[in-house]
Amino acid sequence: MEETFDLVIVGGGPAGMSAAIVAARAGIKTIVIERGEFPGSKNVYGGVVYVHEIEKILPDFWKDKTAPIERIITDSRIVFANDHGAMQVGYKTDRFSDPPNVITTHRAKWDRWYANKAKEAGVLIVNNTVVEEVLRESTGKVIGVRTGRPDGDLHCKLVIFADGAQSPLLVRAGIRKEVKAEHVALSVKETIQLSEEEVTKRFGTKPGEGVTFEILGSLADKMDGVAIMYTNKDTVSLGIGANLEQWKKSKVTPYEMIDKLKEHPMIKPLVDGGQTKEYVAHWLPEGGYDTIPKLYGNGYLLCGDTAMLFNALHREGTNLAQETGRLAGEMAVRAIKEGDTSERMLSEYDANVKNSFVLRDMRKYRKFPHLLFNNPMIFQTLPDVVGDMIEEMLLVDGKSKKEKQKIIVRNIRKKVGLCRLMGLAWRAWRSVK
Amino acid sequence: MSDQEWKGVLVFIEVTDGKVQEVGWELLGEAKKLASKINQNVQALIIGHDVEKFAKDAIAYGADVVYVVDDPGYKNYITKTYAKAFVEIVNKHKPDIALIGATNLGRDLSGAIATVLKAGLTADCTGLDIDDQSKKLLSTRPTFGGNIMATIFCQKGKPQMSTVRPKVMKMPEPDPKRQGQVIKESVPVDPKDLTVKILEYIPDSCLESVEIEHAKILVAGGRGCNTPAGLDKLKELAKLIGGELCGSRPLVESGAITADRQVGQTGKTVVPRVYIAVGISGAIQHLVGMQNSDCIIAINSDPNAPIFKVATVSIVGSWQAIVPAMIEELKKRMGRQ
Amino acid sequence: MSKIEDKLYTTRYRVDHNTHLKIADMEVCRKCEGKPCTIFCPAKVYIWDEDHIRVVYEGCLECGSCRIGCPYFNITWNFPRGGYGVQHKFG
Repeated sequence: MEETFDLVIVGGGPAGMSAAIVAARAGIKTIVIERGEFPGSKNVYGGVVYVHEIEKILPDFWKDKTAPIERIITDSRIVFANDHGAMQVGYKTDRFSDPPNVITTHRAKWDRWYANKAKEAGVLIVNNTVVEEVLRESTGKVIGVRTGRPDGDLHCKLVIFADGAQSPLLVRAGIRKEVKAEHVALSVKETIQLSEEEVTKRFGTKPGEGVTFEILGSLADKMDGVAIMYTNKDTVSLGIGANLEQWKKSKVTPYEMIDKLKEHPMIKPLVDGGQTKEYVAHWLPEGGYDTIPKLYGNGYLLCGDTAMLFNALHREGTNLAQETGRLAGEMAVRAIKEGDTSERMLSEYDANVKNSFVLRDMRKYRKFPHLLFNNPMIFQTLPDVVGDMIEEMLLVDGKSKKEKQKIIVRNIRKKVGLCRLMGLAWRAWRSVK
Repeated sequence: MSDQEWKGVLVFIEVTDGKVQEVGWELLGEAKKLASKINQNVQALIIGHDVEKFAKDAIAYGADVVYVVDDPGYKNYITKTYAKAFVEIVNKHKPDIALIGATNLGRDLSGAIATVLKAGLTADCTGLDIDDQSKKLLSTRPTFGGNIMATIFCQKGKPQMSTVRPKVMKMPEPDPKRQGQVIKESVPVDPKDLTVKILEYIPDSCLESVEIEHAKILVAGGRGCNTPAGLDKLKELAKLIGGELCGSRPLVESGAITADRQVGQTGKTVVPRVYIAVGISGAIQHLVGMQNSDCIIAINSDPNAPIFKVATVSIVGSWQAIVPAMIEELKKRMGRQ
Repeated sequence: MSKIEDKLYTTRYRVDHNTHLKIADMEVCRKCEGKPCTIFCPAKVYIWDEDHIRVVYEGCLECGSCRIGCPYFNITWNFPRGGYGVQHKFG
């Protein structure tokens, strides 16, 4: 390629595109390299986008009629399930509808729309291209990338890597270590078609508004199942996953697991009769704070899932990607304008990310991934115990309440042990405080 | 417009470089079978420049009616112009079923047409039939890797469209005495649509890209010789006798050959003069792709390999000994000449 | 319940002529106990067939699990060529 660019961004997802918009608006000559047919064609996520972070780049975007918003979420539920029942805790409010707080979208539509905003800002987006190598000069400084196209070398002043949770490119280049199986969750997701009226009716929402379910428990054969169910305009996003290290020992396949989930008494009435429109699989980088690589180097920055930025407890990923993309874009503007893209200069980006909610939250929940990984009881025994306890309380069978209380405590003692339960509660508190 | 008004099985006859692509004739043979099951006629559509002369061949191969769209504007294939013409003919004559050969042109054209007509399209089919009850077209095609065959029918949308790969359907016997109707349709090309001008044809210098369907001699490798050393020997043999390298599915999965060199159910169907099968067991998925070759020479160390059932010459032994010996002997004999 | 092939049929792909997934050494697979790739792959790319692993790369959903999930790291893994592989309609 004969043209030169100031900034090369690898990856056209929310992180990369946010960086691109910020940089291009400040007059930086920016190019985004995307390996799919269009931005979004290779992306998967649960389904919610956080308005606050997007507004920092596109103020009042939700008033734009072309924005591919599915539903505005006004009802959030957390579900603790065993394989025959579920305990739900939820909060519904009309305070989150105008202005919206959280919305559902489809990644393929959203990223494409977002990319058009980037084009309006002057970003050049090149699709159908894989970045194969990182180019360095003799000092080791990153000076560009090599793509799979003929004559496909791109030289630039700064590279922002936003190419997702698995970046074999960065592993080959020695910029990031290869991910370990225990640091990611493998999830599968189906987009299930109903109709707009049917979704509104089944989930009990107002038209245009929606519900999110975060589901935890022993959903299938005592695997550590973490599932999500989000309402879109006329479809439902249903996803389930587990830690990859668990999958290696599993006897159940991911596609069997999602089918079992669809049969769960809480889920079935909500998705029954719907037609699966798409089936996809992806990673959630769950390793947490301790797996975050160095976010910068001589001539480059990392943002989004590439930097393992994912808040497992709150299932937040896109807003972390969006925010670090924005910060990376701002850093790029400053560094390129001052003619200094050295490691020392770029360390400012690291400081900014550390001071933002991104790393503050990740540091806070540093021990949470270990809590889930080291306490299989959460997924295997506890859901049954909790379920049994609630069922005992709800069952009208002539026993006195005091008797029932004894049965419940006996059950807990037998299946879990009071001390173990207290220990778990203590560890859980420690991991999120 | 009710479904009953759509009648006829239409076959697109592709003319490229002044020649008719034979898949068109193959599909006419198939169309006749389908049409007889639903009591409809067989139609052919030829688009191009100076193509009216092929109409009588279309009738000989089985068409009852041939629509000819002949205009200088169609000399070179441009998706938009051909698609517009095709759609206009379809809207005018309303065929129930439309079949197109899965050539590069056919694949490009069929997608464009199906999108405009909002018709269902099943690509790369290996089988066509009519459902007894619904009288709908049933299109069968292999799914990923050929694990499962999928039979697809279109619930709504007309015409029901399928593309079929060359040499999958049998070439019918032409009957020059057959009678039929030739209808010249005028669909002038809008000059604004001539967005592409062919300046020059440059032959593809990339040696890897080849159409094995056109090769007269094929040297095929299977799991039994799927090693770098084995592949080298096969390439040497192929080069020596002016043949092309191809193989069964395992060679694609190991990256030894690209999928366009795969012969079989999920690959291509070939009918070369000579097919040398080395280390190929002859599983049905492979056999369906090559069993009609004129002369099949099979080399396999397993005397019970199914490939021997279709082989003209069967050699039981290890390829490591036989193939190098063949190469040496061939070199000697060819040197002598 | 639907078969995995039915699920994969709902997903859009641009299939390449080249496989982007290869088994590095088939002998390793023969000795591997359990062959976890044949279970955890969400697209059923890996299938044990008598004495070898089949690689149905066309259905790959590009999650990367096989690259790090194979206990022997015996899979040579690359992204498909630019513009090829899975292309999400929803994601």
